[in-house]
Order: sequence, then structure tokens, then C-alpha cells
Amino acid sequence: MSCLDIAGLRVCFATPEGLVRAVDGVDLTVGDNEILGLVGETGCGKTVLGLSIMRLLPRNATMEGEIHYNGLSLFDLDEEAMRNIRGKEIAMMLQNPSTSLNPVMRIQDQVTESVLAHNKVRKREAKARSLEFLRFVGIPADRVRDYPHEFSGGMRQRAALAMAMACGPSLVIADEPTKMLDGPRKVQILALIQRMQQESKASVLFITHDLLAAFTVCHRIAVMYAGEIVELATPGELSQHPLHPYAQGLLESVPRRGLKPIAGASPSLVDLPSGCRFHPRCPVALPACHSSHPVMCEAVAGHFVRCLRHGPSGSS
Amino acid sequence: MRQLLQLLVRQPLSLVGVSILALFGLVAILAPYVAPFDPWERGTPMLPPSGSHLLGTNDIGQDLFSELLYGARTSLFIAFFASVASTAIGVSLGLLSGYYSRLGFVAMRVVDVFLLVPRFPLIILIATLLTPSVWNLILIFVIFGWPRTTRIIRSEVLSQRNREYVDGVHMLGARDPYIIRRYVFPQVLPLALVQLVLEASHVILAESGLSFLGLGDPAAKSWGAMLHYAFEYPSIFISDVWVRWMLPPGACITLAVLALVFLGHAWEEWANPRLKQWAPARM
Repeated sequence: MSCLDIAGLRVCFATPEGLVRAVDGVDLTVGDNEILGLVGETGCGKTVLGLSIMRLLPRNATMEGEIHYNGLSLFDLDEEAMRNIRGKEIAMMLQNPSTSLNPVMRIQDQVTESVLAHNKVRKREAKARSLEFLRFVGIPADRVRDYPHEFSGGMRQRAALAMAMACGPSLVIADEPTKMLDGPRKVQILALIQRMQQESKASVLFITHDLLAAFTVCHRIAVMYAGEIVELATPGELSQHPLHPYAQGLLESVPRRGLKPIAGASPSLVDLPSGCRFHPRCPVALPACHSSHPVMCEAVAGHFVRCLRHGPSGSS
Repeated sequence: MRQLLQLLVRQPLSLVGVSILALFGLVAILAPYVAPFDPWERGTPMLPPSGSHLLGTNDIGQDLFSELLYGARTSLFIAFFASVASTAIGVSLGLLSGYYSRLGFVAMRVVDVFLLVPRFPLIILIATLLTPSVWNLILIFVIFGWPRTTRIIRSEVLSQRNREYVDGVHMLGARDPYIIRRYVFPQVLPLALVQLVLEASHVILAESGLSFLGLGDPAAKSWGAMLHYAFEYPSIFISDVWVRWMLPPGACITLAVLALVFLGHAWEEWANPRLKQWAPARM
């Protein structure tokens, strides 16, 4: 059984400008012991997807579809049951290390708090455990009584990882954990996430816009565009044979391949293009792409793509 | 604690404020021991200042200096309880109404009404309707004190509860009461302290005003009541009596309010770093 099973998830926000379709029909599974990467550009709905798993969306959001966590339907739980899932079963690492820690609490106290949140242990025991987690992420014992502002960005992000691990979750949603970090720190946090995943046997949903980071740690990668998953493959497959033009464009845009930007701007989620959502920017669009909306299909074994060139269309 | 001490050293005004308040506080507590006479006891009227009667006596022979000392007692007692109670209500309601937006909407409309109505005339009106006693006065000041604090605390809570680390602790599965207690309350505490001090200065002024109008507790000695009786004395301004009868209570009220304002100002600067005047770094 897979750890997380998302089926037909739709998340809409009612705004004065109209209905924002942030996530539109996403099917995704995160297997046990798997690091699944969710890659896409800013504003394509990655974070909203993460938040909807935690059921912590703003009040103007409406959700449709189903999310099963270890066979448990998350949308059917009451608030108290959901609260027990948060942190203990599913933990989330926030994207901005400089604002995701409480500025007036010592680092160790914050990790301890996280241990105490769902484990019935004594404070001393919790403190000892928090020290272990902090040592695991490489924060020296003489720094654990510091406040967040005394930490560097990388240390903060590692402390945030320690907090996320502290309850022993079986799914960690890491929302752009490398966003604010420089190169070496990035590598460090990626290595930590990988090690954490191997040792704790947790699954990880790794949300990022950094394709290279996703290639290094993920077992499978889903590419998201305008609220939809457009391609799903292993890192090897995706880097060698990307099928969707958007994924190809993403690959071309990384520094090593010549830093070529994708033409055009990402579409407004209020007023989505007809047919294939990528067609206005697609260099190889067919006439049919303007009107018919492609469905996800398996082009090669284990390699799914949503593109008319590789599969049939659904309804427009 | 160490921070507070540092603050006192760095801000001379707050040191002045604390000293004055400490002095008044001491006088208020020790009034029965340090006052040379029972302020209710009638002796020879209109005695001029002398060794035993430092400020002389009033028109019914009560020792003015003793009255002044006992007056500190009433003023500070009312100021303390009224400001603590109204700040406590204001902070709790501010926390809840900032955190739960629907409750906040309702609470703010009630606050609007209270803030719209001119405060002092209404206080006078209610004071005339209630039997004048110390506890009724406190009740009146609490009724009119909480709305301001509620509004100020709520606005701060609104900015605090949308911080990312609050979302973060939510994601760890924290309950609302825990978040409010551990994450929001500590952030609004400095602001609450400032409000407490400023509210106390409002109460001292309002209490003096009411007593001056004769609406205070007639059984309690207060500075405002001293002024009230002094004004009723027919020849108060054509002789020198006002120097020893009106000036001292007036000066005490002014000093007490000033002390609280100094303290509130210093605390506000400490709580809100944007108000800090930066000194150039020393090399």
C-alpha cells in the first residue's frame, strides 16, 4: 500500500477576480519509503497541494477529490483527528527558514515542543531526544540554546528539519527546503533529507522548483504546470528523455544546459487556456492542442505524460 | 529582569518615573504609620503650617498632610485594580478576537460603540447613578478601560497570527489555546504592559476628576476630594491657603500621572524597536 494517495484533487480559491483553480485534478501517489519530487514554477500550485494534504488552506478554499493517507481518508476526518495527524503522521517543512521558526523561542525549546506535541514523555526525556535530532542535523550542542536570529539560513533550515522529524512522521512534506540557501548549504540539506528518509523509513513529498535538486534526491519526479501534473517519471528517465515540452523546457533552462528560458509567462489560474494548458507557450504545439485537453497516459513503462503528441486527448 | 534594569539605566525618564511611583507606593502602603494624624479626626480648623501640622489643617480641622498621604492610598489602589482588571479583560478579549475573526468582528463593533461615546461625561453619568464607593469607581473605570486595550492588542494579534512559524506550529498539530498562549501572547505582552501603565494614568486622572466633582467615595480620602473641598472653601483664592491646600494634591496628581507616562513611554520604546533612537556604533 502506498503512503499517500491523492485522487482527483481540485482546490479552488474564491477571490474577487474570480475562481482561482490552484490545483486542478491531480492524481498522485507517494509510495512507502519514497521521495517523490514535485517540480514546477512558482504559482503552479505546488504549495497549495502540500497545504491541502495538511488541510490547512485558507477559509476561501474549496477542496474536491480524495486524499488517502495509509488508507485513511483525510477529508473525512474531523478536526481533532486531523490535528493528531499533523506533525505526528504528516509533518511539513516550510519554505522560508528565516520566518518559519519562532523568533522568541530557543531552538532546542522549539524542537522539544515538537517532540512533546504528540509523545507522552517527560520534559527531560523530550529535551534529550531533541538534542539527538539536532545532533543528527549537525547543530553543535553549544548552539542549541541560541535563538533563531543567531543562526545562519542553513542552520535554521536544518533546525526546521529536526522539528519536522521530531514527532517521527511517516510522511514529510518538504516545501522548497532549498529555496533560500546557497549552493553548499543546499547540498547539505539535500543530503540530510536523504539520510533522514533512509534512517526513519519515512516517505517524503519534496516540493521544489529546483530541477537539479529534485534529480539528486528523488525516486520519482512529478512535473506540475498550471495546477496539473504534466509528467511523471524517474529522475533518470526525465533527465534523459523528457516527453512533455514543458519538462523539456525546464531542462533546457538549467544553467548546465545553456540557461534557455521558456518563452511566455505562466498562465493565470483564473483564466486558463483552452485545450492543453501549455499550448500558448509550446514550441511544438499542434492545431489540436488549442481545443482538446490531453489526459495522462503511460508513454513508456513507468513514464507518464499529459501531451497530445504522446497520447489521446480527453474532453476539451 | 536584567533587561528591565538596563532599561532603567539607559532611560533616565523611566528611572524618574519608577522612583516617583515607588515613593507614592511606599507612602500609600505605610500611610497609617507615617501620617502624623488621623485624616478624619477633626481638630482646630485652618491652622497654618507648623512643626506638627506640616501643611496646616482644613476648614474642619483635618490635618492636610495626613490627608495627602491617605490620598495616595486611594488613588493608587483604584488605579492599580482598575488598570489591571481592564488590561486583563482587554488582553484576553484582544487575543481571542484577533485569533478568531468572527468573534473579532462582533467584538470590534462593541468596541466602536464604546470608543465613539465621549468617555468622561458618560463616566460622570454612571457615577451619579451608582452609589459612590471605591469598588464602584473601579467597576466604572474597567467598563471604559477595556475597549482601547482590546483594539490595540487585537491589531497586534492579527499581524502575529499570520506569521509563518504560527502556521508551522499548526502543522505540528498544536491546538489553538496552545498557540495563543505560547506563540501569540508573548508577542503582545510588551504592548500589554505599556497599555497597563497608560491605563493607570488615565484612571488616576479620571478618579481625581470624579472626586473633584464630588462623585467619588465620600468615605475615602483622595486627592481629587481634597481639591473638591478646597474649592468649596469660600476664601480659597483670596488668601494664601491655596498654596498649602490645593497645590499639594494637584502636584501629586500631576506627578503620579507624569511618572506613569514616563514609564509607559520608556516601555513603549523598549517594546517597539522602531521608536528607538539609534546611537552611532562605537568603534
